[in-house]
Amino acid sequence: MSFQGYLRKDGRKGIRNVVAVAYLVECAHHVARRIVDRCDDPDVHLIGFPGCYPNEYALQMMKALTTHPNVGGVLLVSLGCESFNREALAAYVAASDRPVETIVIQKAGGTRSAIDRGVAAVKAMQQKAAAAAVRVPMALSELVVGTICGGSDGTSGITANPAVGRAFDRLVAAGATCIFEETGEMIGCEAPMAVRATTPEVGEAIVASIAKAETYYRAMGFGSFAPGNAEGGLSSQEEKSAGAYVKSGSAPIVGVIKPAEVPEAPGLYLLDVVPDGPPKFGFPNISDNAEIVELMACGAHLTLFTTGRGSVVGSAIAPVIKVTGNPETYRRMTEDMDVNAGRILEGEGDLDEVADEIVALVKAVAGGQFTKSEDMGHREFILTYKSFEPSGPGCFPRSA
Amino acid sequence: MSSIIDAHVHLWDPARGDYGWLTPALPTLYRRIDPQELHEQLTRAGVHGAVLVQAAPTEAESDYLLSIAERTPWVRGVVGWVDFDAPDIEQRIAARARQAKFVGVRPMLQDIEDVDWILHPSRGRALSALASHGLVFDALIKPVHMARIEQIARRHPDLSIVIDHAAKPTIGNELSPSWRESLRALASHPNVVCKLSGLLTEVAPGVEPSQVLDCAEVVLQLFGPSRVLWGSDWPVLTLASSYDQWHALTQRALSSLSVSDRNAVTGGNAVRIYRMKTPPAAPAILLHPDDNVLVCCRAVRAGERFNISESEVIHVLQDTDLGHKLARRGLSEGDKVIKYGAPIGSMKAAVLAGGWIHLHNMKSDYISAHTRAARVDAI
Repeated sequence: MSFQGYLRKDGRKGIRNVVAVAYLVECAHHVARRIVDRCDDPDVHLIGFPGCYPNEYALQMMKALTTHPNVGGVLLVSLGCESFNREALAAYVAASDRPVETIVIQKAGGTRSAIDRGVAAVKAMQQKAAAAAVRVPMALSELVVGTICGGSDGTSGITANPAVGRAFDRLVAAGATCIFEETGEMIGCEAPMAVRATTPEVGEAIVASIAKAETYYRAMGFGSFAPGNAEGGLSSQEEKSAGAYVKSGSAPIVGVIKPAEVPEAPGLYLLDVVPDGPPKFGFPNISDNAEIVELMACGAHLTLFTTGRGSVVGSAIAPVIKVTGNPETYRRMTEDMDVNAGRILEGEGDLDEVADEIVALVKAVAGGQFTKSEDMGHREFILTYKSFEPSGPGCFPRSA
Repeated sequence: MSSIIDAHVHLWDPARGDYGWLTPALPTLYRRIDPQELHEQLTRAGVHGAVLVQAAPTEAESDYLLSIAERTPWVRGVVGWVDFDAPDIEQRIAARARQAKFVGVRPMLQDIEDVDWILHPSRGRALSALASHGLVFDALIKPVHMARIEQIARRHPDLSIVIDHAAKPTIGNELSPSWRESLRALASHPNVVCKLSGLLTEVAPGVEPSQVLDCAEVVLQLFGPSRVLWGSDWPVLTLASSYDQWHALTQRALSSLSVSDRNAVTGGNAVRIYRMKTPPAAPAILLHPDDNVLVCCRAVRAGERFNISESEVIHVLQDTDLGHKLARRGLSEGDKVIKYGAPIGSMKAAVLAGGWIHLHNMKSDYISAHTRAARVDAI
């Protein structure tokens, strides 16, 4: 089965045609947000980086995000004096054949004139992006799908997460690229995970990434464990880990990637989200959307988000499909939940049925159907400081 | 979770006295085989449920198996026996069809001297009744019966027929071409499916057990992954091998299939062909046989009692919420808490069986969990 995608110059295909309005420092955030608000269009999304100090990770992330296959045009909003290399970013986007404009607030004459110019620029860009859009058939094998869990509870690890794992197995079998992440939530799972690696290098990288996560979180003083996890019945980091790990399904792990590295060959990847080097800049990902943003920077067209307690977030750029493992949460928050994996606990269906439902929804959403969070206007985005060393070639297979 | 299903197992108690074939001449089999022993085999192999198949040509034995099935959630169905020659056979089959876990019928054709027994027109009444009630006909046959069953498949296109153990071919270094052709003829009927089960007991002396892989390949090729049911034929299997060995060998046979196809063979097809009902939701579940905790599938109340297995009862000591853990047995300070078959922390205080296990009495072995300070004077 295929659906219609947007063909980009680099050969990748998108499932949305979004104009991204990107602030390049917190000082430009208000102007960028007002531009997006004034456009009042579900396909104009706000993204950005708040820091004034230079950061290579943030530049690489913004390059990957502004040339994400779901993005058809980009407006950069700069205050003017921040360190972000707006020229390099604009040149990178332009080289991808996308329309791009930069508004520098200090040069535009201040807040109001920058907003007015920005709204006009987005409208012109949308016309260009619509005219330039090349609709082509797109197959499941061309999709990149990420998964994260947020607001986990004691149900997540026995319903939603294994159901997503089986959906991943089906997607990988169909030739898609699937990415799971949050090595801090895999602490204690490194040995069985390494066995699934396709090469010794990947196995070593898996073990090293988990060891790094444990060191990092220990230095931070907290595990990747929220109070709501405990209220939902999870008692320890390793209990949460065992439940989170099953999202990865059972396919072989073909590579370990870092944020903004886009896999070139299909298969299942582990995204190592914990910064390299001595801990600095704080917690690896301060909330769930930071992880979704990193999955998108690795090319994810959409994200499968499992939740027990009931997260409501969506994302800029790439749709989020919400799968709850808790039948009570589903009943309480039906308007936010796309899939009720909690029905398994009540004897209505099994993991395979829910996995089939998830795969069917992935196809529908890839074909243009809005997810619940997307429909309600959720477009969360967060990007903060980090530092990474690039992955070695052994962990990052190129297409044959 | 019951997605991997062993479509062919037996339980028996020789003291019941109606098995006939089961005599002290088979010392490893001539003993009571209870659900507990079977469940250990299943859980060790990661199998969630099983179909009990009759082993005695009596309706009393079907009642015995159904009584086990009724109190055992992981028993997903019973293939029983009815007297095909009873004058009121239609009524008897209708009554069986009303029993939720009664999914099919198996006359013991391999033990009946007249190989044409099933073809006799009088027995068509029973076969038509099975078809009209949606019950399956399990064919316990040898290669000599294959052409006869094909005639049955032709006469009763609405009857769902399961070929047990691929019709028990002798497994030598070469597969019999006539068995292969007969199986091909059976597979050409869409109402016929085949069990990938029992084959190790058919391996000829001096032949490598791995030869069953060739046989499995033929079965998969002829029937396709949506018409093959995986089963073990345990404990008969133990005459030649072990549950684990059969499981490992068939995993190899299925390794080239896609995930969905493998799931179909190891469970989905059994659910469909035997028209299994979804089991009622348990209040709490055991995720792994080694676990010393259970996870609540709904909020449970102090004083509730329920079965985890036939012999294991949990008595809930305190109200516990959905998603939280109950102690499966009493634990002492320092004991590891085991969930998913893996340690998830240590007890920092003792807990009685049926008690709630959480942050108040257990801790991580890696890194401390943090909780919300919900008091307004905390800051």
